[in-house]
Amino acid sequence: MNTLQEFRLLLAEWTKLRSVRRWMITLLGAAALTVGLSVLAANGGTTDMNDNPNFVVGPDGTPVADGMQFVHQPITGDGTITVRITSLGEPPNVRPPSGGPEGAQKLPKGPWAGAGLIIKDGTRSGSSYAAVLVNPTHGVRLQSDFTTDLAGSPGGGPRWLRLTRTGEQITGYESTDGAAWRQVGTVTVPHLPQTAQIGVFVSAEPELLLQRSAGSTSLGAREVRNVATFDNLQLSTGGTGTSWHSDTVTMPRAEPEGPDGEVGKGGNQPMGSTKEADGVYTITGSGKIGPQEPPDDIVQISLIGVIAGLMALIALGVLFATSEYRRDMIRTTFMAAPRRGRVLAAKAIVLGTVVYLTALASAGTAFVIAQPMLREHGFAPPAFPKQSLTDPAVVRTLLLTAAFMAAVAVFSMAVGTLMRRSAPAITTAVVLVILPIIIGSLLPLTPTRWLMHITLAGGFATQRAKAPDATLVEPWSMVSPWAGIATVGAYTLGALALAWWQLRRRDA
Amino acid sequence: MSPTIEVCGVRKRYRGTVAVDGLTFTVRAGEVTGFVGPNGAGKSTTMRIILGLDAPDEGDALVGGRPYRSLRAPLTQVGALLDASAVHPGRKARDHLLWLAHSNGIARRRVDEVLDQIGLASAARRRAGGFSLGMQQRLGIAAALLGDPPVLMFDEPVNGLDPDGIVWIRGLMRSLAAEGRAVFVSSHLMSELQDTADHLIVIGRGRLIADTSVTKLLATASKGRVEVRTLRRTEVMTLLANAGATVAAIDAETLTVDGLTGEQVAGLLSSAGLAFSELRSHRASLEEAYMELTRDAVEFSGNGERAR
Repeated sequence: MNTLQEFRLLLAEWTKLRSVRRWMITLLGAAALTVGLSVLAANGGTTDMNDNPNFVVGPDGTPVADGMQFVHQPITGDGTITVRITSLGEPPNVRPPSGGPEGAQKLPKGPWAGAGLIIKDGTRSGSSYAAVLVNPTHGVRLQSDFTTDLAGSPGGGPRWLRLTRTGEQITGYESTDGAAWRQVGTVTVPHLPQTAQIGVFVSAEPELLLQRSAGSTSLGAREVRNVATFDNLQLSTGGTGTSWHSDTVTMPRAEPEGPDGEVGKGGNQPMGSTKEADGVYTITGSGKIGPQEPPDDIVQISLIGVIAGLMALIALGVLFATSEYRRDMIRTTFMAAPRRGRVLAAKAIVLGTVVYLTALASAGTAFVIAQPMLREHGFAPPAFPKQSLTDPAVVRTLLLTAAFMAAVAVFSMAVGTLMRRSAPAITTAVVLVILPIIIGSLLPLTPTRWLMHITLAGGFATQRAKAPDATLVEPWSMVSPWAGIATVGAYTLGALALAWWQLRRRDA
Repeated sequence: MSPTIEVCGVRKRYRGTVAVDGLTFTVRAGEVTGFVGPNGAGKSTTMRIILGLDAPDEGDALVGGRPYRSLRAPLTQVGALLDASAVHPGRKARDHLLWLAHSNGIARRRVDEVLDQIGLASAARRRAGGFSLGMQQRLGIAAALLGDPPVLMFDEPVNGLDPDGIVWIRGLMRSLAAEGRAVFVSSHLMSELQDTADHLIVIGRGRLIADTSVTKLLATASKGRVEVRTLRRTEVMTLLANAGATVAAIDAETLTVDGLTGEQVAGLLSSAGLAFSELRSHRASLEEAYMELTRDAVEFSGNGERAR
């Protein structure tokens, strides 16, 4: 019986929504704006990222960074290498900081550099590898092919490390005393040839300096070096010789500053050196060994129109509520359904569902139309791997973007219920969505990230298929899509709760 | 369910102004009950309280023995027309009735039935924004009849209707009452209820002034007065006033006489040789009765204010 009554209310609210032609036109308008503006933007932008010589791809074809000082010898088939790292840190005679804009903020570093053991397909940058290493801040890691990263024990202090190859399987171990060994994990490296280079390496992730100011960001990279000392270097079996070669794995040289003002990232030549005395190796190296995708997100670029569609959806949501208060139509509504909370819930469910389906269709359409256009304009592999409608990241982006649009529409409906008048309610909702973007474009990094966590604008993060990135102008790109949708969901539920509370205590 | 409206000790205050002040009355089935009072007397407020739209500060309003807000399919229990313009102008008449029907689980065919019954079938697919006042009124009545309810409430239903429409709506209310329904209709003009209402609830300043049948009220208001029709008004007035009667002129040829019986008047006029064309007992109009009632009410409430 109860379910039946709920269904009646849903059917009634759906009939209300579909029977006002202007609202249906607004809904279609939202879809048209979303698709139209996205396609327009896809047609307008170009990139020369793939023409940049400072560009290396990993075994899976995605852009990577690969730089280190590598002391190695060939190994054929299975084998084990062991070493003790006695110290790791920046060299004492650090050069004075150079490069990077003034007043810039240092970005936190990832786990993709340090000192340790590596087996690699030659010394060419971008080739397949597996490594067990100590990172100064992230502790022991087992990594392979620029994508896999398994954590071992934390802390950047001295360690014993061991790497074992068994066919395609590489297993990493760590130990504090060289006697009791703990396995970090096992990775599969299918591209590693039968004969590979094995040895010790040192790398150091370049310092990224970011400055955000009035609508633009400038990013500078400063080369840093790590120096590490190793002893007890032992190669068990399969080694073809006992002589160790020292090589510097480098990225191609950076182009001079590009026209878009971005400084070449990690492009400077790493300066490495190796000294050996009585089995003690002192190695200095720089560079990062890990993913280096451009932060630009072609999925997001193909959804730029969402912000325009959202404006139409705000109007629709507000009108769906405020029209009840024109000429006291709310009285007719509450005479037909005196339980007001249920009316509000039915309105929210009907509007949310209708907008969700419309938004999903328009975001999907925008993506499908914009992707080939973007590829033509340079957003193509390898810098920008092809994204298809069935990729998990794309599916997640489209579903969450539609959820964001539906939530904003329902939020607007709640604001309309609270304010009862269209113009102030529409203005309020638009300001709550747009103003944080404007403010966020002017503020430095940390307050902007904070702002994106607590305002509706954070919901735009749902448009990103790539991981959060602080180096982009768009303020929402620095929070995760889940954080963004959670904030928007909280706003929507909060506004609905307020509206419910007010509906109950107010005379109609 | 017994088809009645019961209002019991209802009090409602809006920001310091008392809109309804301890109102108690009952609307019975099979009758048209008129709800009369000057503008601002609290009629619409009372109706909104009955319909669960406004919450009373004190007292209860029950429909069929239950508060409106507890009804699960209220449109099948009570049909109400509060404000005929309360329809989205962009929505077609049929769609307006359709969502109402859906909300109460009323069959879709009822929509077409009431549109036929109310004479709007030809305009069913037109947008309500283009409706004349009379058509809007008809659409509002169609909405009230949608759930075939035993209780009907109309707030000022003849407002904006042309004479044809007024005749139509009076007939409709009579026939609804004849079917055994309780019909509760408000108006600020007593004359609108003449020949329509069986019973009257008269209020002023939120208080009950009279709760009476129309027949009784008219008898009270007539007070055994006599009506004389004559071409010699001045002489007749003088003569009867001298005989101790209170005489009032209704128009150029008609007088009402209070304090003398018909026989006494006939005797006096005959012996004075004054001709008259008609002599009959005076029948008060509802309007007169109402004026008398509200005059008292104004004085009463005036005293009441001072006493507080």
